Amino acid sequence: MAYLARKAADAGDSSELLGIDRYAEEGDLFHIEVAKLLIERKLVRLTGLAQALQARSSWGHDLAHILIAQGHVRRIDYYSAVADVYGLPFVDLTKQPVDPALTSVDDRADYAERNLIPWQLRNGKTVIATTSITPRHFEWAEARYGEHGFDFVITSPFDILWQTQSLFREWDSFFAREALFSWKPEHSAKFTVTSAQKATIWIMAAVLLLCLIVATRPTLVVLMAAVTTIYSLTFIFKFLLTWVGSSRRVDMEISPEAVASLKDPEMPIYTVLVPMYREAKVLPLLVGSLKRLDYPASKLEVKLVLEEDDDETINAAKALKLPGSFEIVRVPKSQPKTKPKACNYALQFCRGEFVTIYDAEDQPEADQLKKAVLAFRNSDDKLACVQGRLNYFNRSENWLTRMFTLEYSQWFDFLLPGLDWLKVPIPLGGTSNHFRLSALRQVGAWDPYNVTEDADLGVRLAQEGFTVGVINSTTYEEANGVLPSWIKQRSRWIKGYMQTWLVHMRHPIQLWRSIGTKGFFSFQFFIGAPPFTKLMAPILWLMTGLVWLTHTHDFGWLFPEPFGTMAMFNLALGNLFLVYFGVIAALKRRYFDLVIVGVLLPCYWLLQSLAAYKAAWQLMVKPHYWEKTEHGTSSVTQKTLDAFKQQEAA
Amino acid sequence: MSIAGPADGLTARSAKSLVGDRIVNLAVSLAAMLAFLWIAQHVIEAGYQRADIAALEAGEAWKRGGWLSQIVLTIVGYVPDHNVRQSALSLVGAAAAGAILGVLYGRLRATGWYAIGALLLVAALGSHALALYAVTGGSRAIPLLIAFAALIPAIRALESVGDVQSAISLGLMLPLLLLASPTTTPLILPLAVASALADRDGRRDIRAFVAMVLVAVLPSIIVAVGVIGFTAQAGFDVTNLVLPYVADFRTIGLGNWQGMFAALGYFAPVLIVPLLYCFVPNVGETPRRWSAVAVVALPLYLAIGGIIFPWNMPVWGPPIALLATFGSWLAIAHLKLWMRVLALATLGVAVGLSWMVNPFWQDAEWLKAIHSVLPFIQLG
Repeated sequence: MAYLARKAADAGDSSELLGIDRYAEEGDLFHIEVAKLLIERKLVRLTGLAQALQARSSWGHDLAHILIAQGHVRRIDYYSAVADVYGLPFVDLTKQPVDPALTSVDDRADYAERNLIPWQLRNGKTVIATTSITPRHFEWAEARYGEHGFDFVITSPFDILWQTQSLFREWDSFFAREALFSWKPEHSAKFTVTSAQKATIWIMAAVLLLCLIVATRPTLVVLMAAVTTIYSLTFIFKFLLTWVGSSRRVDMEISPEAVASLKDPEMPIYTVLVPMYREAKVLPLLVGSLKRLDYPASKLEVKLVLEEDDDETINAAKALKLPGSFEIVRVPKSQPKTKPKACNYALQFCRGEFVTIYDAEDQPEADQLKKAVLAFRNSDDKLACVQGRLNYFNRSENWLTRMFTLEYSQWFDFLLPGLDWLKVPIPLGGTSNHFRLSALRQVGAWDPYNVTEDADLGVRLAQEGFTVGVINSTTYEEANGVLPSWIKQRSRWIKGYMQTWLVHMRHPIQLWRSIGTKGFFSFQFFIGAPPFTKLMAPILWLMTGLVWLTHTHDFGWLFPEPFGTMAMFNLALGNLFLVYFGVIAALKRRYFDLVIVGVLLPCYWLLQSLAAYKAAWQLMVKPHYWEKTEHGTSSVTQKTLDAFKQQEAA
Repeated sequence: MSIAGPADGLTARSAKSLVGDRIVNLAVSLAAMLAFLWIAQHVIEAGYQRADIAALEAGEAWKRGGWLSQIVLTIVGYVPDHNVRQSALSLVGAAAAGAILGVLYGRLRATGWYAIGALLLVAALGSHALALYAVTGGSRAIPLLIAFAALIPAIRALESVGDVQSAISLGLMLPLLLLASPTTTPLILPLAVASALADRDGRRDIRAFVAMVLVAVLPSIIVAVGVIGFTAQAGFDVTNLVLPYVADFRTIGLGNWQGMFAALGYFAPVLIVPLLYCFVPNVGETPRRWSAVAVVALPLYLAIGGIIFPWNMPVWGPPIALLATFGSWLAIAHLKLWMRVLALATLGVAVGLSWMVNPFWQDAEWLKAIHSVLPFIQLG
C-alpha cells in the first residue's frame, strides 16, 4: 500500500490520496512527505532538511534535487522513499536490469532527458522504471504503449544512467565518434585531406618542381614574395586586432550589479563537463573549484567524463564521496581516444539548458556561470556560445609560464575581443566555453578527430549561422612550465590548427559564402597563417643570419621591390611590434612583472617553431594522436593539494 | 556592449545622417585642399622659391628636419623638374592640410559645434597667415604640427578613459615626435614618464612605473630601428640620418627670448582659451586639465627650446604649433557655447593680426607672391 494511502488510512482518511493522480505534478506536499519518511528512517537529519528547505526557497528548485545536491541523502535512499510514497516498488537496475528488447535507440535521448526507461514486461504491461511520475511521463508512455499498456516502478537516476550507458554503449560510442562525419563528412577531420585536396597538393608540388627546374630564380622570387606578403598581412591583422581589442568598449561587460540582480529560482539547469584522463591527483582541486561556483547547487549537473580504463581516476572520484550533483560518465574504449570524443559521449547524458567544459585543474571565477546565463538571455538565439577568458594561476613560476601567460593574455584579452568586435568566427579556447545545449547538438558538437576541436567548433558555429561572444570572466588554469610537456601540448595545438584549416578549406567558396569576406580572411590569418609563419620563421631567420653575420650570402635578388621593403618592414618593424603587442598583453590584468620579461618573446617564438615542425610531422603520420598534457606539475598546484590533504586529515 | 547598466549618454544617429556628415567632411577636405593647392601653385608661378626645395637642391636637406620630412623630400627629389618638384611638395602639404581640416570639421560637429561655427573655425585656421605659409611656403613644420595635434587627443584619452587602449595610443603617437623633428624628440621620455605617473599603479609600484614607461617608449625605439634599417638597406649613409638629432643640441645659449614669446602672444592669442578652461568652473564638461595645459605647454617647449638650443627655430614656429594644438583640442573638448564663441573670436583676432605688418615675421618674397594671388591683401 502506498505510504500516503497507509497514513491516510491510519488517520481514518479515505480521500483521493489512494492511487496516483495522473494529472498531479510532484509538488511540495509530495517532497515533504518523502522527506518525512527519510527522517523517520534516520536517513536525513532535521538540520539537513532545514538547510534544504532554506535553499529551496532561494533556489526555487524542488526539494529532491536540493537534498541530494547538498549531500544530505544518497540518491538510492531518496528514491526508495519516493517509491514508498507512491506505493510502488523500488528497483535496483544493477541487480534487476532492463530487458534490452523493450528499449529503442530512437528513444535513447528521452531516457536521459526524462529519466525513464522501459524495464520489464509484467502481466502484459510494459513496466517503466522512472525517478518521478508526472503527466509528461504518462503522455510519453501512452504514446508508445497505449492507455492501459504500461505501469511504473521507481528507480534512481544513477541506475538509469548506468543502465542507459550499458545498453547503448556501442551506439553512444559510435555516435560520439561518427555523428559529425555521418552528418557532414566535409566538416570532419577524420580524413586529414580529401582526394581533391590530395590531387591539388600533388599538382601544385609538381608545378612548383617544374618551375624550380625551368626557372629557379624567378620561382624562388615569387615564393618569397608570397611569404613576405603573408607575413605583412598577418602583422597588419594582428595590429588591428590588438588595437581594437585593447579598448574596454569591445568587452562584453557584465556588471556585478547585473549578476546580483539574477534570481536563483530563474536559473536554468547547467551542465558542467569535466573530461579527465589519469588525473586523480588534481580531482580535489576540481571539486573545490566547482563548489565555489556561485550557482544553485541543485541546478548544477557535473559530469566527470572518464575513460572506462582509467580505474585510478574513477576510484579516486568515488573515494571523494562527491555531492549528488556529480556523476561519473565512463567513456567506452575506442579510437580516437580524444577529449572531444569523450565530451561527445557525455553530451548524450546532459540535461542542462547550457553546458560548459572545464579541465580538472581549472579555477573559474565564481560568477562565471551566471555571467554566461546573462549573456545568453540578453542576446538572440543566434548566440550559441560565450567564451570565458583563460589565464594562469602560476604565471610567475618560471620563464615558460611567464611567456605562456603573456600569450594567453594577448589571446583572450585582446585578440578574441577584437575578433568578436569584428564579428568574425572566433576559435574557441580549450575550456570555459559555455554553450546553448540545443545549438551545440544542432551543429554536431565536437569533431572527435580534430585535436583542437574547440577552434574547429568556433568556425563551424559561424558556418551554421551562429555567433560566439567573449565574456569578462576568467578561468585560471595551470600553465605548463615543463618544456617537453609544453612542446607536446603546443605541437598538438598547431597540428589542430593545421587540421582545422585543411578541413574548412575543402570548399573555400562555400566557406566564404557562409562566413563572409571578412570572416574568410580572418580565418586565413588567424587559423591558416600562424602554423605557416611558425614553419617559415626558422628558414627566414637562417637567411637573415647568413646575410648579417657571415656576409657571405647575398639574398637581395630574392627580394625585388616592393617586396624588399616589405621584408625589411617585417624583419625590423613587424617583429619588434609583435614583441610590443606581446608586452602590452600584460596591461589589462596589470601583470607589470611580465612587461619587462616580455622582450624575450622571440625566444618563445623559437620554441613555437620547434613545436610547429613536430606538428607538421605528426599531421602526416598520426593526425588524430592526442598528446596528453600533464597537469599537476606546478608547485602552486602541489601546495594547494597539500593544503587540501592537511585539511582532510584534520 | 554593456548589460544591465544605465545607457550611455550617446545619441544614436541615423545611418543617413552619418553618411551625410561624411560627405560634408569630404567636401570640406577637398575644398581646403584645392584652396591650398591653388594658392601654392600661384605662389610658385609668382616666382617664390620654397626653402625646403632650395635646401634639397643644394644637398643640404638632410642637415635639418625630422625623418618624415626627409623621407618626403627624398622621394620628391627623384622628380627631375624643379617646378614640378615644388608643385609636388605643395601637393603633399595641401593634401595633408586639407585632410586635417576636413577631419577637424567632422570632429567639431561631433563635439557639438554648429555647422556654421565649425566652418568658420576651419576657415579661420586655414586662412591664418602662418598656416598658409607653412603649407605653401616650404616649411618642414607640417610633420611637427601633425605630431603635436595627434598628441592632444592621446593625452586626453589617458586622462579621461585611462584604459589600455589609451596607454597604447599615446605610445603609438610618440614616434611621431621622433619622425617630426629633432626638436620634438626629447619630449618622448618626459611624456612616457608622465603617462606612467598618470596610472595609479605607476605611482605606487616601481615595477608598474618601469613597465608603463617601457610601453610608452618602445614604439619610438622600434620606429627608430626601422628607419635606420630602411635607410641602411636603401644604401644611404646612416650618419646623415642621425646627425641632425645630435646637432640640434650641441650648444646652449640664450637667443631672442623676447621675440619668441611676443610672437606667441601676437600670432596666437588663442592660448587664453585653454588656460581659462583650466580655471573657470562650468565649462561644459568635467575639466581635463592636462590635455588643456598641453595645448600651451607643447608650443611653449618649442619657444624655450628655440631660445636655448641652436634649432634655428623661427619665431613663428611656436605660434603655428599653438594653432595646431588648439585646433586639435577644440576637436575633442565639449565646450559650452560661450567658450566656443571665445575660441572663434580669439582665432579671428589671431588671423587678423597675422596679416598685419609686424616685427616678428615677414618673408617678403612670399608676401609678394601671395599679393599676386590675393591682391586684397595689403602688406609690405
